[in-house]
Amino acid sequence: MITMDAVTFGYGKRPLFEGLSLTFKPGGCYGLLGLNGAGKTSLLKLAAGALLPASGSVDAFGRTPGRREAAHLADLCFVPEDPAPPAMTAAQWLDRVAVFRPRFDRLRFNALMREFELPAERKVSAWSYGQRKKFALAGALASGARMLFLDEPTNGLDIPSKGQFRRALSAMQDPERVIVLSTHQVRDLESLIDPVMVIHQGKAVFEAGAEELAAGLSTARIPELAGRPVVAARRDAVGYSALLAEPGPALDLELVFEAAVQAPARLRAAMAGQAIAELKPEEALV
Amino acid sequence: MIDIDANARFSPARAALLTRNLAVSELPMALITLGIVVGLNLVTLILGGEVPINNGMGSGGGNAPLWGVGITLVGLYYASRAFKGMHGRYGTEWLLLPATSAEKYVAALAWLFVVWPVSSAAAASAASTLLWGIQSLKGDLGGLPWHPFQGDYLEALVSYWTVAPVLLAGSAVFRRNALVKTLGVGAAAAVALVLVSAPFMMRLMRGTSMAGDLSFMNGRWLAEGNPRLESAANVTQLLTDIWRFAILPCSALAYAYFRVAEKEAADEVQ
Repeated sequence: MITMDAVTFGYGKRPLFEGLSLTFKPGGCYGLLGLNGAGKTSLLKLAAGALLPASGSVDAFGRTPGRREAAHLADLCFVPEDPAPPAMTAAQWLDRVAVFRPRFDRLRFNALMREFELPAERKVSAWSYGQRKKFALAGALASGARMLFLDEPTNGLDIPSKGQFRRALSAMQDPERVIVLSTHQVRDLESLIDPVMVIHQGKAVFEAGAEELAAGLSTARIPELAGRPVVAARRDAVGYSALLAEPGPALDLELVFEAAVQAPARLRAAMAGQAIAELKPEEALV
Repeated sequence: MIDIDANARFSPARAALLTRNLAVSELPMALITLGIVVGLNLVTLILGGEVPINNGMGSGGGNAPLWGVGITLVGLYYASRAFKGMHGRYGTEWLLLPATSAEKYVAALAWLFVVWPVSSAAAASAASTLLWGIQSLKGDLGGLPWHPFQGDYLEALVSYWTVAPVLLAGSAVFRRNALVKTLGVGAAAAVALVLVSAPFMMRLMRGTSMAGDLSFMNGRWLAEGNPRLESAANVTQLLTDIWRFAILPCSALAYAYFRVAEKEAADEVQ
């Protein structure tokens, strides 16, 4: 379990988080959503220990990440949006970098290299951005780490690779492991995300598991707002894409995210099963 | 495969692996440089019968082999980039590599202060012997091949071990052009020291003849022509030696360690 308690952090004099408290529980594949600049990457780095909180505490499976103990670092894997391109081949990388991870699974890594169709004989630094991203993800998925922090993992992946990545990540989910995916491309990953967590204005403003969301919310295209329990809606050419306070066959996490940011009170009420006032057309999301 | 204890607070195995990684990543440039040096000296040997790197520059050579100077200069360059990896956009991966800050720091020290001086001296010695052998086969007498136990190298090493910690600290501070920036800060500090010490020197000389000369060469203060200056030279020498051989390198090493241990990922908000 990773716990942040009353964490304050900022760059220079500009505060990013003030009194942020949240928990990432084992078994979860957290979808960390937020606007640009909300601090998703910083949050992952704080959890990993690459950034240090100005005040408050961070605890990751009983260790303080900021101390950067080797055991903690071997138990986590952070894949940044733009991974470093090591000037070495995959075999050299295994020998020089993966060797620091006692639980690293070389067979799995090699299998993922094949599945991602990566050119093992060439230096990673000579690969394309997408190939480098797949290489970093293969390293993370084979790391054996209990904490996986993946920043925009599908950015730069082609369509088949996204599917391969989803399958590989799905196989990684286990009750002991915490996976946190920071993403703007929520549709790429919505089949995996459970729970979803929204960061806004320095706070975790919304968190709900997939079952909880499915039990209380759904999305649908509707021509009119009147007469429906609409939590939030986005106007489009032929009507509205609406987030409804009722279960249904489909749920668009992007709308949930937008509701969490722009209509938090309505979303909270809907999740609590309370009646919500009818949404007026001028209250549609912008 | 080396067995690593993930729970160890300090693992010599991890430090050794990090040292090896540093050596593997840095040595190719040194080998290319060595190849160029040997090649150029072969050219001068073929054209003029001289091996400047073994016998010194200028006509007739002289007993001034340049191997020691070259090794220490390249070593200082390496010192100025020892912690390059922890800065910049890929610094997060350096920080989160599963080894402690102390291990990463010790690995840099081991590379700079042991592995580089020893391995480069061995390679230089072999290259010098090769050049000497070719020169001898050609019938030219070029003295003896260079070896690392010559006085010049040991003297250069002493200077290297005192200056390299400062550049190491600079590499922990500056993200880009650490060598130039550290030398700049050093030069500014030297000017400041002169300005601060000038009033004391003026006070020392008050009431006496201003005649005399105080100079600093090869790490030694030389005073001539004024009894007060000569008596002050020994004290100044002692203070300089304490500063140069103890305070400066030790404080630079300590500062570098804390910079590494407290380093955070590059500022960025996405």
